[in-house]
Amino acid sequence: MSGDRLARVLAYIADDAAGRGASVSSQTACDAAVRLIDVSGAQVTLMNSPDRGESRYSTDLIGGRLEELRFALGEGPCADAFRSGVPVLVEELDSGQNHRRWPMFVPAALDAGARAVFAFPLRSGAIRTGALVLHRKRIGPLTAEQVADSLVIADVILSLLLDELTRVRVGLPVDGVPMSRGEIHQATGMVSVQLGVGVEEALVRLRAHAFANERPVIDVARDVVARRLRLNPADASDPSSGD
Amino acid sequence: MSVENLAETFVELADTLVAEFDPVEFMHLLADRCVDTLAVDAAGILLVDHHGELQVVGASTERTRLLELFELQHRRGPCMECYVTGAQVSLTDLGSVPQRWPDFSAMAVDAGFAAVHALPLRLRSETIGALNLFTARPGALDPAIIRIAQAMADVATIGLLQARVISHRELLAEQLQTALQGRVLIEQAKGVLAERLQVDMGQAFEMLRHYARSHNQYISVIAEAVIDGTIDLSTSQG
Repeated sequence: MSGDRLARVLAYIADDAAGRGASVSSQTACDAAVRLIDVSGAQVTLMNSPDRGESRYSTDLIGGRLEELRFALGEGPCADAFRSGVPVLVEELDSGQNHRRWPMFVPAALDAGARAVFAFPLRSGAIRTGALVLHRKRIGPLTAEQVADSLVIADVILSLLLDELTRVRVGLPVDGVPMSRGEIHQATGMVSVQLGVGVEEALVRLRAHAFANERPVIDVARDVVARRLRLNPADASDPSSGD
Repeated sequence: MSVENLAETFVELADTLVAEFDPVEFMHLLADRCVDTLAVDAAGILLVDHHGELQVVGASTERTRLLELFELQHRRGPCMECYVTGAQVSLTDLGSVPQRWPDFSAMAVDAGFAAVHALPLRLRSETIGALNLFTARPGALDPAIIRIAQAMADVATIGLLQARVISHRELLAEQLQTALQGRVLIEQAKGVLAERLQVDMGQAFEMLRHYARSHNQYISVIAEAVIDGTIDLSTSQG
């Protein structure tokens, strides 16, 4: 069963980075995605609203060009994935339907050399950070396995980005537990009220607290939900001050 | 359960499906109707996520004990077995020994249940999750009830995939992610309300649901507005 998919993908990302003498980051995870999913290139776009956003990293020139097009035109698979919050998988850009859907983006993306584009939101509920966009120079769908691996990589990249953007070093979810437990989402909501911050920062703070206290995030989340633990705004700059 | 009741339930579910609909609200409605129609004591709908884990997307009650029973089946247990094999799984006496999943059975007994049933959510060759039914009394479900339960599971599957052709990989991934992410939104919003209004998670969910219904809005939309602070449910409670 694929309950171990996360563990397998994490191991792949770690090996891939180590093989090139790099430490794991959202960038090296993006590089690893190209090989694991068998695509031509990948890019990560950071967004704070549907019309804004910037390229975080691109593995090749086509990826960079696709991001420029999204930024300039405001349409395309990446823009739609962010807006809808669900994946947009386009196995053949050059179809009548896609020309109608994105009349400006499609011809320009074809010019740039892309034939298929797969956009995965970097999202956990109300936390919407951007999108992971994979592209191929040939047409053809992702397999079910590749879609599932891409979704897991998107989760991992979201997790790494939250660390990088806030400079709170938590690292990979080493306990191999996906961040998909109900209590973690509930605790994130509670902490956002306790600290008067958005859910994105609340999740970062929850993870930082767990890391500083060397406890699994799920255990800390359960304590928060059971009201055995409150996070204090005063601890903001010092993740090591625990309960 | 009368024929009229059953007919009414399917008419209501079909009505929901015809309009543009909120998958999260639909899954809860379906879980509620399972309890009414199948004479079971609790019901939940679980979908597999991209990690290969089962996540609850609709439940007949948001009692913490029941949600814990769903959570315990993430990677193993009757629902996972049902999902993997695509066949119905029943544990008809959770109090007897030995139990195949002792932790799960003990927690279920503790929550007041004596039997559990899992039916596959399946469309053609694709299984996407399980319908989970709990009863307070031990024993198998009547074969007629099982047939209706499987019909409800089929309705859930069709509703989720909105009767679209799922040969298209995008649609399946899209629909599953909509339902799964909708659930994440609701959990985050429950946390916000629980802390802001000092209510428990079950009350928080009922407030969300009540507000969504009385304003004729999607529960996931209300959840998002609660999280970003654009609506304040404390003033809307009568």
